[in-house]
Amino acid sequence: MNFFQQLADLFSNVTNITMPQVIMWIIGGVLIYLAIKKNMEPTLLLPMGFGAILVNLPLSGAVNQWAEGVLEEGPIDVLFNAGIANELFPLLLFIGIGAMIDFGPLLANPKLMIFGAAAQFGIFFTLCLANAVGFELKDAASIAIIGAADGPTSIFVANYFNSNYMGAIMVAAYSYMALVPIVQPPVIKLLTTKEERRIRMTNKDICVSKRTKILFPIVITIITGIVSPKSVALIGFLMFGNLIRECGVLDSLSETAQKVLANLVTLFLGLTIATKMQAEDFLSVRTLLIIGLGLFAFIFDTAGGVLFAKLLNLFLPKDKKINPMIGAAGISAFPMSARVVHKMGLEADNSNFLLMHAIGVNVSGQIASVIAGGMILNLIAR
Amino acid sequence: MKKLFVILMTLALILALPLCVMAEELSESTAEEITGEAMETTAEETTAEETTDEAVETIVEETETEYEMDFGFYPDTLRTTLPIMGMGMLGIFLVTCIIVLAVVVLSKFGKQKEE
Repeated sequence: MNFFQQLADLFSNVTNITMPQVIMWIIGGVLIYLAIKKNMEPTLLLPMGFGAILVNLPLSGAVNQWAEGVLEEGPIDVLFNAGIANELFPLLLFIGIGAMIDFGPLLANPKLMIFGAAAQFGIFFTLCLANAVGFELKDAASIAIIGAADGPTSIFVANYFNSNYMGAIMVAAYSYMALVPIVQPPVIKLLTTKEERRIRMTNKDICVSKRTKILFPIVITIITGIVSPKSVALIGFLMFGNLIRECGVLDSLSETAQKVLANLVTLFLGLTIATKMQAEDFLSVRTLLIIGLGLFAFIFDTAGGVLFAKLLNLFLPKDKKINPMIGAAGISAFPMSARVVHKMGLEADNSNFLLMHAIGVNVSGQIASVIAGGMILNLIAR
Repeated sequence: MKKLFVILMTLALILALPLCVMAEELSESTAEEITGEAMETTAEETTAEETTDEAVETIVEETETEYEMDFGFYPDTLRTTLPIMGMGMLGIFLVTCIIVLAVVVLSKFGKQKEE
């Protein structure tokens, strides 16, 4: 009898399993499936998927638990407090991202930056919509920044406003980044004619000096830091990463930032975000709304860039017209967005190469999304 | 092409100041209206002597819960968010224009030194 009692005690935790937890295991499984089978942002979706399962096991020791009035700290909550609650992980990741980006195409044609700015329209439009459908202003701002298509900026802003929906925001941000090739083409096609998609843009071979490449990150940090001081950490770490890439004397550091640092932080970030994916917080109508609003932000970002290019074309002479599709590359999802535009350009005309222009706009979107994040931090009080 | 961008940048810079002022005025007027409403509410509350503190607390709690839980469409919120949208987009364009100008200057400076 005693043996059976002990056996029953051993498996007593089975009775603590709840339906919401099982749903979260399925969601975790779907994220892992998308990461492995569909190759959708695997570096983040896989740790997030596994983390979702880890934190949703009954009485999971991976997260904080109260046992007989004593708080037993879980490693994922410890990591969250050490790396995300103080905004450290997204900033460290930005050093790696900065080291990966070549701003050459943008420096060769700096006017392209204007499209990066136009493509941030979706962020602010979604902010208005999210607030209008009932989210508090701070949460609306955190949701809107999904449209930045920039994971670290989304984490930074959501954490700054102490948003309750960080888990849903992260899942939406990274999923849509991976879904850029599916989300953007229909929007672009809807807003452009075939003739517009065939517009050719001349490729000029402009050599950017090393001095310009080195001074660029420093100047950007100073300008953005003065105008939007709250974004100085974001832009500063991004530009620091770029400076160690371009300076030419820190190749080993640059390589470490691009590979080891970025990979390590991404690993911790994905797993740690899962602490906000506990069934009781995650499974709600609000999560669905956030995912819907994220899609809305992406669509209007794309539309903002394309329509701005079309607007410019009204004033440009016939031989200087811009292919409006490059405006869509103004979102921060690098380099997927540029690839999508290039591919669509080739579909419309198989000898139309838009890649360099699209890459220039795409890297400018990276800077503009950080500026947009900074603007939101400046305009909305914590 | 170059001329157009120069014109656009200049326009953006010229438009920036009045638009900033307009946005500020709009947010100030909204704030004034809200303050006015709040004052009226306070006056009404003061006259209603019979209302007990507990009742007030319950009403406040109910209102807060309603705001947190009910999803719908609240067009009034646009009075707060549209100025933020205007200021945000304007800010991004302004910073971008400044960065573009800085890059153009940097490129020229770099070329001259290389020559």
